Amino acid sequence: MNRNLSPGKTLIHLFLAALCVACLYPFLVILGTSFQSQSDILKHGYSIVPKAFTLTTYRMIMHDPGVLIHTYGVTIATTVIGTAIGLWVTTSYAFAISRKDYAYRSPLAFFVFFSMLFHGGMVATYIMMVKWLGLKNSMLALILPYLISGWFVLLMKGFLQTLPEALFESAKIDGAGELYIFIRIVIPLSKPSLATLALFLSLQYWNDWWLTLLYSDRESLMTLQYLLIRVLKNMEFLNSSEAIQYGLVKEGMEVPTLGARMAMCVMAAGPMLVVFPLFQKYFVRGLTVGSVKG
Amino acid sequence: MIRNKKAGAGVSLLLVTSILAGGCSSKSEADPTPSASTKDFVTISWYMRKPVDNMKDQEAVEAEANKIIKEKINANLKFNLIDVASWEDKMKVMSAAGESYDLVLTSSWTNRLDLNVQKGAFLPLDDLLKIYGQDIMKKVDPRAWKAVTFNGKIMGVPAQSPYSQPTAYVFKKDLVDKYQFDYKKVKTIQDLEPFLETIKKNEPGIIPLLAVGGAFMPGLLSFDYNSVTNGVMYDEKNDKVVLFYDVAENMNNYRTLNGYYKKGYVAKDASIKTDWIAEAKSGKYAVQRDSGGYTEDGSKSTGLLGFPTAEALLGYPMIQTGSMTGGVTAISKTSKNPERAMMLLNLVWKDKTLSNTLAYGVEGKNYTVKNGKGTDNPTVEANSGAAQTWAIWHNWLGPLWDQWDSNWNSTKALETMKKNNDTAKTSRLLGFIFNPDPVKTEVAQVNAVFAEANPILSTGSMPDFDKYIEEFKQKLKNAGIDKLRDEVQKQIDEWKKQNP
Repeated sequence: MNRNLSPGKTLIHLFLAALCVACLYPFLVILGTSFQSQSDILKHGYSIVPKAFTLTTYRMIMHDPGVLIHTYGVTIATTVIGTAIGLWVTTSYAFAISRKDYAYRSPLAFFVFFSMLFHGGMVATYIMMVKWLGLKNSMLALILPYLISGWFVLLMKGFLQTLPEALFESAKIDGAGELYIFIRIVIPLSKPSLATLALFLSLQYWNDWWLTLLYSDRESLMTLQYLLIRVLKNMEFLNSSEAIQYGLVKEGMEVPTLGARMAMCVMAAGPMLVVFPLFQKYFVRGLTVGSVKG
Repeated sequence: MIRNKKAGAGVSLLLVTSILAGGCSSKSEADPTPSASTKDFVTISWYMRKPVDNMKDQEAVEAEANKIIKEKINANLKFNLIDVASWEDKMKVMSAAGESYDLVLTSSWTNRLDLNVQKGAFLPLDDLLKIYGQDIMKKVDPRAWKAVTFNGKIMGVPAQSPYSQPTAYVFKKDLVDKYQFDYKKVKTIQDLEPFLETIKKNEPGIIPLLAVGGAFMPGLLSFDYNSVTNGVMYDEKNDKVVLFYDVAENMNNYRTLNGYYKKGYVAKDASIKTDWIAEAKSGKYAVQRDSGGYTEDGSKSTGLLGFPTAEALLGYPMIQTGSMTGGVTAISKTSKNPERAMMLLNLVWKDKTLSNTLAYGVEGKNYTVKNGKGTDNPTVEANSGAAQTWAIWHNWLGPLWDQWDSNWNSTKALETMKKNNDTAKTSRLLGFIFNPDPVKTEVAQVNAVFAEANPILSTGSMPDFDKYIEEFKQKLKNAGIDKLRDEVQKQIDEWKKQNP
């Protein structure tokens, strides 16, 4: 307690505390609103403490828990598999083009760079995925497109270039092959940037719904984010007059679109909020190491 | 050369005979023997926006329907029901990528017909209709063909639906009763004033009039004007193009609304609210719009809003291109069996049992027959609410007036709708679609001005009406609205020459 808390320091502490609250506040509002009923939201607006605590929104979203659990499964599977393979592919590519003694270094680097600037667009990608590769309605369609991206390769290359060439040479003298060098020397040395990359990749896979939209009609391949979008769109539809006309909604029934939006946010962000802090320390280091030369 | 000529003659002979054969077979209705072209068994894919999320019995229903389809035209129907979230994007990439499919739902509001036609995604249907679509031709409202005709070619089959949906004011019934307000006399937005005043004075918890930013409010525009594009309207009475702000009576109505806002009849923050139905359902408002369609006893809006209501009919809007093309079925250019697709479509229009199976599902599972079992016209009770797992809207499929009497649509309701359709006035511009390409910049700029102004205009929430409108006019002028009007006028003149 008697650590010297000068007025200046107190001020900084207070300021940081206020900043924390300001950052947390929106999320708390989201959390609180997700437990409010539609009419309460309309009457009293969004708030952290619900007027009357209700679980209708969650019940509505989870009306079919089997589907929800399944979509979580699909999302987790694509995220884990995609991140693992993506890390390997990206890092090995980056390693190859970071080595000065590699003959095809500049063409391969140019290939990556070029694809960052120009790409075929949605239709060309779709034709390739569906017609040439025949990947419609397959799990691969949810994984392949994000495996390697020019930006991540260049990020990784930037880091790998900082590793001293002499290290590889001495390893070679000791009889190590390229694969051995890559697995036993490069990968352990680049842990922080691998963690950063893993976070980027997993976020991309976790947040994706676009690939599901394009390449899959099958319920069994639905990802979490897509399910949430679908539920939301359906709720909007249930609020329309057609839905009443065709007897989809009983008279006067409330469809909690406003609360549901928040509940979905909680459900989609929840797991990532747990994962993020675990990555955090690498995240900062990884980026710093990546950008400091020599 | 000679060989080629011979081959050509052979092909054309083949064509003629097949056309003749097709023509004969469709004329002899009693005889369902498949014509020569139905020899091969084919699968027809039909892409449709998913009407209900939870369509679990799709396979069973398709199997049931396919019994009829197989017998009549030796084909197999496969519905591809795509949920709302991805429907629009998916159809876009599919047609851009040239993927093969047969039938597709298109309309003025989803997977738009005109845009698809511009991209050349659909087949012209005139010949197919003549040969295989006789039953469709018999049932479709002749005016509706105009709305789906582009450059003289029919590009889709318009479904039957209520083409002119009435617009009305909905009152909270308890308040109307309490203050003995003669709501049936309300014909304009000005007629509301005495009631709004009473409510403001005596009901502190109630906001007199519901207005929401950017959403349509009845009574602001007259039925004699149709919007061609943002800011440019068509005066049906005098048959000419006018600018939005030059229509004096409408500006007057906006002024009235602004007066209401200033007197506190409209919520102070109305312009930032967006969800009309959610607001209406809260029950905080004494007067709102009817969102379902006018019913004299108010039962429709009672069902929607969840509290007793009374309705005052304002009128029936003129039938326009958009309202007639709410649900249109088109055949894709990539279709491998366009003839069979048309035959299938014709069968849906012709065969009452088939179209009702697609709409209601399997008997005993998705609906039950209440009475009249075994007859052509039973009364059915379809599953509704959470129990409903199958339903394709009739007005997306095609025929609506053939529908069985059910708990969704009674015969009486259908007859009323049909009568409304038959008696409603039709816009002079039916079938005209404005092509914004020559004035792209102006359209974008004018749209931007409207996007900004709409929430203010539709809620009347401006401090000084005249000043605001002056500025609004100036902004529209700067955005190039005059050029836009001239272009609209030019296109309409040209169109009129071709469609006298």
